[in-house]
Amino acid sequence: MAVTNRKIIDLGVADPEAMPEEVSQFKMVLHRFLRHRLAVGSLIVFSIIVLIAIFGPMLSAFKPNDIQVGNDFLPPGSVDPDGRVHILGTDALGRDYWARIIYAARISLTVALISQMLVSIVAIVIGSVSGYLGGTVDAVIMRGVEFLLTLPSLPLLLIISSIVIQNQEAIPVPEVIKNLLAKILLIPPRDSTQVFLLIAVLAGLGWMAESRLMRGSVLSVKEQPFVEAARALGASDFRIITMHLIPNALAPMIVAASLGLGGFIIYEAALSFLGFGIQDPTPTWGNMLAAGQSYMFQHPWLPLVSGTPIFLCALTINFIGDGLRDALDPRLKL
Amino acid sequence: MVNYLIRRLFQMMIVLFLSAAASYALLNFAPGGPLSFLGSVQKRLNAEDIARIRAYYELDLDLPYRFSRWLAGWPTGPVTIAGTELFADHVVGCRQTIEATIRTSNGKIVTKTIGCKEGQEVTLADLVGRKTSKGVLRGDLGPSWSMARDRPVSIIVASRIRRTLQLMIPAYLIAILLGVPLGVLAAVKQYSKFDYFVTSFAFFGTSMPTFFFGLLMILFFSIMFKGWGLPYLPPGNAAAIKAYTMPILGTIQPESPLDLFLHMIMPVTVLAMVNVAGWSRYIRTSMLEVLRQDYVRTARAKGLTERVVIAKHALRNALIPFITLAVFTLPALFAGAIITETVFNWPGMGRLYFDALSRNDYPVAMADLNNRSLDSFCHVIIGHPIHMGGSTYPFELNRCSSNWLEPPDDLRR
Repeated sequence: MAVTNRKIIDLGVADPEAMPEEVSQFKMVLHRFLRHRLAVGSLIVFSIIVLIAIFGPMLSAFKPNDIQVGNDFLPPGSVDPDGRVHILGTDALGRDYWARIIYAARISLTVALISQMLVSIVAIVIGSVSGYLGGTVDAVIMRGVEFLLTLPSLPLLLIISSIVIQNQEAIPVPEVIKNLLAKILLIPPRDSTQVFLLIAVLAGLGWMAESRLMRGSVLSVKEQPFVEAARALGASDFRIITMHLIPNALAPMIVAASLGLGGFIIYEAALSFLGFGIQDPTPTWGNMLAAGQSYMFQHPWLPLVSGTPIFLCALTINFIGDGLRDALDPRLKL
Repeated sequence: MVNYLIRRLFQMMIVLFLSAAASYALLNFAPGGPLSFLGSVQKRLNAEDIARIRAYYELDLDLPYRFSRWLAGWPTGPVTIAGTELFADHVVGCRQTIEATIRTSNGKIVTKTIGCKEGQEVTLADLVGRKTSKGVLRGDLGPSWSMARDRPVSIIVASRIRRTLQLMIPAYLIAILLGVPLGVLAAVKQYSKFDYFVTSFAFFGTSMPTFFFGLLMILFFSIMFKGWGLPYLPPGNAAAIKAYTMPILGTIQPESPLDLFLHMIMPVTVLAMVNVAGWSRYIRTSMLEVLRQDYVRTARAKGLTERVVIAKHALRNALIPFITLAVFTLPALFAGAIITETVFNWPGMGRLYFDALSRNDYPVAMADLNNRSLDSFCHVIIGHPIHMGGSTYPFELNRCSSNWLEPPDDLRR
């Protein structure tokens, strides 16, 4: 009896089917993300937009700032004397619209991406320090954050960026950053100053909500046993924050960052649309839309073409964020 | 509760003071300066004239004094205590500054103010007899600079607020009347086709930038409808200036109800859509949460009909956070919508702010900005701890989607 019993038990353990399959965290998250079909589709569409932005110069026969006299408002598909096709026609100054759209993609996406990265870094540092230390430090930081959140963001953004953009000559921007941005964005270094300043303004006014989110997330992790264990083992505050708190409190931040990216694309477009952002020779979707608006009664496709990528980016990023939320923290799904 | 309100009121005064000071300083650092609207005329003026104009706009005073006169209408002269005048020679500004052109270290040439000309200092005694506003605290917003020269800002604001409310109130009501049922139905029929429709619509609404949506509507309903000979919608403004004829509808008089209605359709739709999208999702979330509660299960177990369970037990509880949110959104209706009003050329508060900023009319911009700080204070500080921490403030730029994530701190602790 005993022998047969043991045999059965042995069989059970040796049988690979009986053991729960060991799945890494990453695989689990990936699996859950792939189940969200809209998110996967959005990821593909957004990746295509990003690829177009990266390989933009190879996809267009024209430079975005080539002005051709007498070629203004050519309809889409026109062929110029050299046999090159204006895929989306030309704008008021005879500049190729397709070229401008894809160079604008580069600029708009870079602005949003760098702003969001800065915001995430600041938010993670401030949120985790404030949440972990608690007490007076926390109170002071959070009152400050609350005050900044009280300020109306769009009106303030308008004032600050108008001050900053109009005074761009007087504000010292490190040459290294200027040249680097110019190289990434394929624009002259003197035009990259305003791009840098816009990034600074957007990031400077955007970090508060996410800091609060990070703090909340840290607060919930902080009281868990593994943090206590780390402290009992004599880990320093710095080690606890960097090795234990941040990795475990990061899930909501990743989701917030992905959604925030879409927000920054719209913010940048809105500022440029209102004329308080990046100015004309440098193409962005926002200022192209504003320019298209002036001629929309005669040439209705101009605003249509420059506005669609803004909407498409925002929509796909929102879906990706939703998918990430489902994947990273199933409890958050409602 | 009284204690709580007093504490919040106190907090509000501090925050509003700080934000007023910060925005006042910010505006006064803005480039171009208030004198830029004098434009080319400025070149023909001599130093005396410029000093006079600077004094007229109080630009010869130092920032703190200017701010205090704007805020409280003080100081208007030397401080008088028991019949003796004190601080009469205290310098508060400068009539004619010395400007110098300096070459900076990286080779740029900058014009800087380096001092005050001898004998041109403004003292407290000089302030006696200057015309001054009574101060914002006593309800005097001061005179406008450039939008309506010398007319009180309050008159300009009053004329715009009517138009803004005409736009915001219908949008607000539509957003509630559509957003609540959509959200509730979507939650009750979770994962049904209808739910997917509402969710997709919410994603569409939160991803669509208002400026692009507005332009698309103008493109379709104004330009294309006009081309097809259908009755089209006017692309901008709140009312027509003169009578116009429309196919089918006939001649329309300016300011007639039909005229106002036609002008309102597009901007109201844009604003309503953004908020319906945000709010329906908010309601859906809070409804789903309530539907999982034990008392809902108990109500079902008692044998109540599904209608009663949803309408009486679930809905009433799910609406609590939403009502808080909706109530604290009310003040924001006065602020208007900057982008939508700009796209549709709507003469409201949002457009006023945009115009004031582009025309350097700082008293108007300040009035508008303070109004906005008050609104967002109500929303963020008072509203936030009560409702679920989501910000679906009817601002037209949607970074609110990320805020849906944020549960209130109290639950986290």
